[in-house]
Amino acid sequence: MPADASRGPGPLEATWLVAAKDLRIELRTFESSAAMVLFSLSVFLVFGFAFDLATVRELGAAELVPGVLWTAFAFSSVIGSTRAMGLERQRESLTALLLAPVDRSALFAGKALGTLLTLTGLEAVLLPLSAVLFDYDLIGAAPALLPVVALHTIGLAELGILLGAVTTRLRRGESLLSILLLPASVPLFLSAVRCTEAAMRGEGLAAVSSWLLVAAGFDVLYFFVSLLTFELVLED
Amino acid sequence: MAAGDPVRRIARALPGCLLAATALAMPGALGLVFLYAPDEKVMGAVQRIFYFHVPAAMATFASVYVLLAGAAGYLWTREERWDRLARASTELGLLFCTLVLVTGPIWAKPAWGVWWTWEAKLTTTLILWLLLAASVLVRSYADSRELAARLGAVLGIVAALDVPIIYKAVDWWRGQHPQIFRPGSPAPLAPEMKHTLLVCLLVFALFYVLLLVLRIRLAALEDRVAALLERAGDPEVTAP
Amino acid sequence: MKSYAFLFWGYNVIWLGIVAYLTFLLVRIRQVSRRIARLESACSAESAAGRPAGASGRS
Repeated sequence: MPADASRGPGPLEATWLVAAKDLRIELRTFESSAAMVLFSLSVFLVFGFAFDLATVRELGAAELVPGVLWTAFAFSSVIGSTRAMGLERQRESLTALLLAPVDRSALFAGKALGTLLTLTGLEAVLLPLSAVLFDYDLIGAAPALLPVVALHTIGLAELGILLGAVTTRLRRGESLLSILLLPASVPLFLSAVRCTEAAMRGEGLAAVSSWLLVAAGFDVLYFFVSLLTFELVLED
Repeated sequence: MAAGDPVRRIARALPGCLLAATALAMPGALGLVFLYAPDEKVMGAVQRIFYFHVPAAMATFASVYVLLAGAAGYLWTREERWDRLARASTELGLLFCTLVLVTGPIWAKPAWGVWWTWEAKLTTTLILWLLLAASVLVRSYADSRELAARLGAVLGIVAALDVPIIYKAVDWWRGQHPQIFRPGSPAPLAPEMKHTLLVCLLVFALFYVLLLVLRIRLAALEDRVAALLERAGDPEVTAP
Repeated sequence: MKSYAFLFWGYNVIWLGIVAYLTFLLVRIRQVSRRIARLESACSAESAAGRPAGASGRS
């Protein structure tokens, strides 16, 4: 359809195209995932020595593992967002992306979706690994754990991409992303740890419904804030 | 210089008047704090930090709201004066937040026996400090004033919207643990204490407006220097 | 009493902080105003002298 082609893709399609582009780059090189997996393994290693397995058994995995997991995920999202926005800095590809005949908010949604899927891939590797290393019942916790992880990863990806866009506009700004993203995502982090704890104890999600509401509200609020402000961050 | 313009003249005289007013009111406030207000029965003399700690906290939150207004105004209108408001508020917020964070532990140590507790108000203030400090850094890292204004405004909005959520989240988080300090404890203030606090709030409000006016004026002057340098553009003028 | 030391430091921190920032602002304002005066006189001297044709900073 030539008429449609001249207008460019619609917002949803554009979102998917941007995300697919990032995922294709990621699947070719695995640069971002490799860095995130290795980093998270080092986090597990450090915590493994900080609390040995006897301490974990004594306190119960649900006391310690959620904190360890979300520490790893939060720092990994810093790596992932830095990488996702850093890609666009090479060879002026950000300019090319901005010239594309799509809405700028679709660029945000696409970048965030790409980061979200990369982080989900990371979590698919790390959750089983953490179950092996820290000895808890992943299969039993999974039905409650999966929605919890998904809900909180969405927020991390959104805020990570928005703040990552801010820091890529600065020449030496990469180091600033962690001091912006980690404090700003504290509500998400607290909620994530509480909900993961409840899931691992097998308490069911009804017990933490107010936390889930906080996380969902956070996701929605920052989704709209990012849609509105992403364009302002990127424009020249 | 339109010196004859009455609005301009008032604007020029404002900092001087505010400075005089604060200079007059400050000794009065100090006198009330140390001579008029009674000792708190449980905490003793150290409770008097309260009279400047609380107004500083209020000035912090006032700065955050003004920052939100300035940031939204800038992104909406793209007029530089909104950015000057946002820039001034970020710095003032950082200043007052630092004062709150330093005086809080000094009060907490003798009153509660610990320097710090991970309670909602304290934690929120600490996170707010981090966010404000990071946005001051981001502004100073930016290559152009226009970029600094845009990034600063976006971060200001993110931070200001985050503060109430952080407060609620930490409050719930701590809710399941024993607390040293219960925020909602209805400790009725003696009337002398109330009067003293009101006067101190007034003094801090004066200070806040004074610093805000001066900081905005400084921002306007800095913008003018940048505009002059841009206009002149050639090396002999640009050289300091 | 020991708590007076805390009170003393608490107040000092507040006043030192505010006064230091106030002084910083006043000093900066004076510096920047001087700089503006210098730049403006440089600009007007230059335009009075007449700019060479090659320099097209403003029209």
